[in-house]
Amino acid sequence: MATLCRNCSHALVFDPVSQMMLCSACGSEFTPEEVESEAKAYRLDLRAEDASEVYNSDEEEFMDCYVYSCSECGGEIIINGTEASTMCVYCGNPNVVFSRIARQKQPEFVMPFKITKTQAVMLARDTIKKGAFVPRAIKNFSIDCCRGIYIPYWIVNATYYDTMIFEGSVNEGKKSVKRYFGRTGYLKFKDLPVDAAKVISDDSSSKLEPFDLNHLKAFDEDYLAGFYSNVSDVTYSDVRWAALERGKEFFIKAAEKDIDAFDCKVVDSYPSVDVDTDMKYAMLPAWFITFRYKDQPHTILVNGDTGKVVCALPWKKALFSILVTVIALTASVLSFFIFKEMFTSMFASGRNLDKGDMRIMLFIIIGIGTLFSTGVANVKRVMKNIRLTQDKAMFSFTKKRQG
Amino acid sequence: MINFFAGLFALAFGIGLALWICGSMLDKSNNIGDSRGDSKTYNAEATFTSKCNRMEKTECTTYVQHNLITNDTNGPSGTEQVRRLTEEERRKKAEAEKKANIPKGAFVSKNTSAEDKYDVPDWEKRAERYY
Repeated sequence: MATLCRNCSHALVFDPVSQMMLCSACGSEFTPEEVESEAKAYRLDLRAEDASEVYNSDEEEFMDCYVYSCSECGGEIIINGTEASTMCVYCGNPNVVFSRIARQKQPEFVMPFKITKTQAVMLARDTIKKGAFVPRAIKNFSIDCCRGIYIPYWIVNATYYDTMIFEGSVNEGKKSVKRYFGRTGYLKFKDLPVDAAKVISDDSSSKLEPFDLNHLKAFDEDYLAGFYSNVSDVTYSDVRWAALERGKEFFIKAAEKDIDAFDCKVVDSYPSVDVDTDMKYAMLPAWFITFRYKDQPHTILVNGDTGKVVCALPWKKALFSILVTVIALTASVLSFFIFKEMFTSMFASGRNLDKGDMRIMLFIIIGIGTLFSTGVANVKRVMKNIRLTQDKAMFSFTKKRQG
Repeated sequence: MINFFAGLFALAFGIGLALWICGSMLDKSNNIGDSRGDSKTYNAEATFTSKCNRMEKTECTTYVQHNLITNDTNGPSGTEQVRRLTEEERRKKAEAEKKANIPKGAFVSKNTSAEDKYDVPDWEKRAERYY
């Protein structure tokens, strides 16, 4: 059911620039709070029909799908069990079907979109254009679809407990030896947003952070008009798991800072997390921009509040290989003369290597190893994030929306 | 011999340096927005209740046995869908927390409410529960 303009009865949509409900027909503007429309009352009685019953079909595409009638044109609106607002595929008017959900499952807060669709696309294009290794076809990508979606989040307070054993190297006398370090403790964290839509991976959604929670408003369905939205479908175990992962990350960082050793790594851990069950349910805004490159789906995320762009893109492999070869050859040739000079002085007139020489050799070997591992780790991280951007589930999450 | 070793070291250094430079450039160029809120964002400061440095491997088991925190969470079942608490549940929870925080034998004045000590941020006050 759309919220209608009280002057001309055209459907209102939320405008991120003015933060008002805008009528595109007569230009009237209203604050979402002042629109106490009949639509809100109507939504309370909104009834959906099961799509599999309507079509008398057991096909998978109708599973967990519901059929509504568009309040404007009477057209059929099909949404899945977790969608809360959508557009009519026939007349394009916004339809919010929120109140079909029990009051307890309604969000308490909503962070209205501040970034418009045009701004989101521009931000994504501008950011991508700066990439030296991004192929030209991606820099000039043609948008498959661009949807503003409110993602459900639980804002969580929790206490993380752990007993961790770290292994690290320390200098004892003139030797470097392996030693173990124990750290037991807890950390409390406040207002951690945990993504409540199962279909979006936590790895992707957490990159939209940080959100400025001061921009949250008390929930009002009118903020959803003109955007898509989903409701929470996660379990307590999902939230606990997400809080545990983040708590562990913070705890390890704090412990590593506290331990006086190098090459520190966790060898044993006994974590537990106590999540405050009084979580705050909020809808946070994000733009999902999809495009195809070499037949692969890609989804760029843009934080609808801060404009942060999140994606990892395939690179120009030929350019990368040429650059690696050129730098490797140049550096090898230059360093050859330095190493030759150094080794000549070390092995001069048949003298044996002393401890100072051995230390220099060890330092060089460790240095080379570090360069290798850091370089490979960077490439691996990019590849991992490319897989997230190419995630088919997220692509269809965006693409399947009606309208 | 010297030439062989110098060549070997030079090649390894060259490839390592090239990988490091190009890997960093690739990360900066193609891995966009790869960051998330850190411990400062969520006021997550760790408090260590026990520390032990420079242990031998055999000492680790004893350390864990002495320091393991067993934390019983009386939360809802893991398979239950997350939902907002009702006013009644929230009130009961606040009362239980208040009781748990009172030291035994302490004098408690009658007119203190459960929310007294909770520092509510401004954004949270916009919620219906504070109307």
